[in-house]
Amino acid sequence: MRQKKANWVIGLAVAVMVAVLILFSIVRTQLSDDRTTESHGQEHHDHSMPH
Amino acid sequence: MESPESNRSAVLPRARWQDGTTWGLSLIAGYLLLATLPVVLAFALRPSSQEPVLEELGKACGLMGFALLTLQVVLAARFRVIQRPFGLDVVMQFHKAMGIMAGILLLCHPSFMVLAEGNFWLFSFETPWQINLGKIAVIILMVSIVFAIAFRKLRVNYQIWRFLHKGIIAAVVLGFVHGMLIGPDLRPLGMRIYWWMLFVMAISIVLYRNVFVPLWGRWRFRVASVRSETHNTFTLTLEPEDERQVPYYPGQFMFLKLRRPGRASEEHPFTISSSPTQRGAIMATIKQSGDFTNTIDQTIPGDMALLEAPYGRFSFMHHNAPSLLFIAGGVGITPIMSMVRYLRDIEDRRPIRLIYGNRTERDIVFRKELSGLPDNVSVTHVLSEPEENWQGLRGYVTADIIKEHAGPILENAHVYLCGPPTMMDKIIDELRSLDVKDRRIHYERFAI
Ligand SMILES: Cc1cc2nc3c(=O)[nH]c(=O)nc-3n(C[C@H](O)[C@H](O)[C@H](O)COP(=O)(O)OP(=O)(O)OC[C@H]3O[C@@H](n4cnc5c(N)ncnc54)[C@H](O)[C@@H]3O)c2cc1C
Repeated sequence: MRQKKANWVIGLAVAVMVAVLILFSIVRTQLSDDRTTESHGQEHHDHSMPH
Repeated sequence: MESPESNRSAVLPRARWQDGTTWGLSLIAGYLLLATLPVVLAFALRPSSQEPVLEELGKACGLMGFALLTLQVVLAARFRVIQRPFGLDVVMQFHKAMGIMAGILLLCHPSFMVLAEGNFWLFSFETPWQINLGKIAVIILMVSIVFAIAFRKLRVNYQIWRFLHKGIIAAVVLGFVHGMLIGPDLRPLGMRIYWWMLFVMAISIVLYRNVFVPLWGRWRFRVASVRSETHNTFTLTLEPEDERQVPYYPGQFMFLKLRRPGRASEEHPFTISSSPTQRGAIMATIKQSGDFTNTIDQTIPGDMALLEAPYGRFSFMHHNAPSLLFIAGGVGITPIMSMVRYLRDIEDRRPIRLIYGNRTERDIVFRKELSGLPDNVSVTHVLSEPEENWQGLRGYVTADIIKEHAGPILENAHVYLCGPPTMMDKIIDELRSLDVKDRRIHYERFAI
């Protein structure tokens, strides 16, 4: 049943996407913690002041 | 099973590798790659950040949400090479799910940023216009998604809904500009190139579908005849304007646009009810069941028919089945008739059973042709509201009827099912109760 397999693929796709989102967001901020002392040139994004 | 190549008289789709699992898996992998790439690329180009995790998550949701939105255009474009391993119905099932996913991500994008910054003022429209563009995009998207999910319940006309759905492209444009102007992750050249690539891809496909396909991308046919099959079902025979043959598997469908001056001319999906062994002409058998189909009897020979074909994967040609059980309800006989005709024409000797449910005798489509099939094909009619004098089976198609009329082949047969949704749901349960495994059950819904 193709339609049933499709539900599995949808589940898999959602899981991969959510994992990528969470993983990279966490790693990015973790890396920053590790380097706090050396990172001076970090960009801060301020929504009230668009570039 | 008679291999398609060995039957020289049928015109079947070529490039069979596009039907295979490897191609299907490659497409899924490619999709996931394109969807996740912006987040991975943004990380590679700017690996560390001092922002709170929630803000980073918000930005990542924005990047991925936009990628999904542009990929939605690819999924909806009816590319045959994409639908071949899955079937268009499954591609559209995926399209619907990913539309909801894109909506959730693009709603999380501003919400997470606001929560991270604790700045609820961002929800107002007093923010700079670059941010407001993003908000308008999200609003357009949300309205479209709600509409897409509920348009049937809201009783919105299908054509109007489809027109409004195209408005999502405005969200793509606004999202693109919004990201380019204020996305910190989109400043590196690599990200800008990717962002542009997604945008240009989406716009090009929209132009392809809305300009190229209507002008040059359809097969041009003429209506040769309109034959009445029952009191409310008609078969149109369509002949090509040139010598070209539409290659299709029996059971596949087309999008048919009848150009009928002064009468409804919109495009609708219909099964190709003829067999690919029939040279030249192809047929569509259409039941009067709504605004457009109720006018089908107003079609006259000479009317132009523009078609996009073939689509779908509802065909025994994709399975190595020792025997075949077809179960049809009402006009759901059309893809099954195409398969039965093909099997008859290529003199396939496998055991074939057809169980055909209708309300009354006068609703039975193709009755005469079904009574003249070769010996290896047995046809059982079941009527739910028969006349007094009906000699055949009464009621609905049940496990008992299936067992009685297809019992000997049930152990290894592949089952092909097409009919009203409630009938199909019920029969799938009955088949499971008879130990028919899901991988041997194939069905087609007349809705995408
Ligand atoms: C794969 C497939 C194969 C089909 N094969 C056949 C066939 O062989 N014979 C047959 O009689 N019917 C077939 N149908 C059903 C047929 O497409 C609908 O009956 C027809 O589109 C209804 O249009 P209407 O305006 O008459 O009805 P309406 O009452 O206006 O529409 C009823 C429903 O049909 C769907 N629909 C309406 N217009 C469209 C459209 N332009 N494109 C897609 N869906 C639409 C919508 O879900 C709508 O809610 C098939 C459908 C699909 C998806």
